Amino acid sequence: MIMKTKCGLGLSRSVETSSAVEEAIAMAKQTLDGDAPAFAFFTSTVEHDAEEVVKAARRVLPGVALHGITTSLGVLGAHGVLMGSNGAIGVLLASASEASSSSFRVAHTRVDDDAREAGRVLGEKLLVANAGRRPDLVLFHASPGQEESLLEGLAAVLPNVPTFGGSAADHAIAGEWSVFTDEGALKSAASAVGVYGGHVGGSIVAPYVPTSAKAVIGKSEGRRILELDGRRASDVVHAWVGSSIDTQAKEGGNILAQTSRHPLGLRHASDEGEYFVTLHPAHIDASSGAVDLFAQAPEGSEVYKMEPSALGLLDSLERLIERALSNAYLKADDVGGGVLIYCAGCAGAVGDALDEALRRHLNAKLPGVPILGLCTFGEQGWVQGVGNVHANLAMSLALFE
Amino acid sequence: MGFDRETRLRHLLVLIEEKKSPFAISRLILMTGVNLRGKVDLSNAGVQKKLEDALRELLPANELMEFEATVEAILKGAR
Repeated sequence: MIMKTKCGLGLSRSVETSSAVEEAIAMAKQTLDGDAPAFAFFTSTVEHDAEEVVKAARRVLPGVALHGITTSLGVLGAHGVLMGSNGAIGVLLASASEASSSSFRVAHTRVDDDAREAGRVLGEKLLVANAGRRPDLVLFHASPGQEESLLEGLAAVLPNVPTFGGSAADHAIAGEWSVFTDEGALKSAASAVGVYGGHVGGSIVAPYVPTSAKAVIGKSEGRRILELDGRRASDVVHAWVGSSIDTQAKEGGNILAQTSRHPLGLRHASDEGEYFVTLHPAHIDASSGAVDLFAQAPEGSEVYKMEPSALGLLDSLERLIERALSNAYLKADDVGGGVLIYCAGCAGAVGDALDEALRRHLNAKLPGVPILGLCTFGEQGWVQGVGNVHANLAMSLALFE
Repeated sequence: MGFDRETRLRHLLVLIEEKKSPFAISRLILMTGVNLRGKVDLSNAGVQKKLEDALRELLPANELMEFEATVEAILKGAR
């Protein structure tokens, strides 16, 4: 008899990395009823040495495919935000039993200059891993920097396969992030879990709406906007965000906190309606007037000043869960497990209130379901009519039966 | 002899981690880029300003004032 996939969630705030990994795995195994795990999805904050996390995982779960990334701020879930004085570790295990509704395959690739090719290789590996069968959904996690090209390459091999995930993160935006793979903890890589069979689906929500203020990107280089409507990009962003970034507009600096309430939005129009991909202005370079983002800003595109939606950064979690359930054609009782992605910038902005909001919404809408949550530096998800997108200041949720 | 800005800040950060949560410290690191979990020079005036500005942004004013008052009381006791 086919049943929903047994999943287990394990968490630890133990100071010592090896003990934390052991503790988290032991906790996650409790709900697997002795089944072997098909894969282990790890996340940890960067207080823990990433290589140590992989070594400990290998020792405790020999032969089990590893997947995951480091998280910023803490480990999220129905428990709220887990963070200890030396960080936190979380793991999601999914049963490999043939009685499970869904089966899983894991693949990873290093990412060098040609990220599109790396994405293509990742897709090929997922196909090969399951005898040429296309996954019904992909959990996708990569180092931040080239997610758009990775998704493009992945889509070339796996067109129209909904892909949900988030980018590896640290606390200080200092490049301390890692991607957890069978090869070890990698600085520049992408890892994916192909989910095959059962009801699967997800949702990506950016809790913002466009205002009437907009500008054309006159000059940009990848993730850096230099000119908006013929003016220095920092002058336009300063005017939109207001006096809270007076100092940074003059001297340069980090504007993450202030712009989390007023990001930019790139409009995508489709038969399904319009969708705004949110871009998070992270830093101003005072000498050039450039504004750095966590996503690409193509020249000639129109960007809108966004403002928080009525539901805002916390209660949008409810909409996210409802949409993911609806897109997966699942009732809460039938969900085996899932992965929640919440933008680190949003989490930093809402602070302690996130703890309560996670407990309230996850326990109300997905009671008892093992959900591993991460704070990321970029979020990816499937938008009907648009395809797989890479966005900032967004949240995504992938669910499987 | 009085206590300097660095000492006050150091006590304030310890207090915030104890009374609020380690999550508050990770938020502070995220918003400032100052790696408080690694090697950081809290005597640097630029670092001090970044942290002080971010604390005003991240904590409600009354909460920050309470923490600052507690630090003053601790330092007074240490004199």
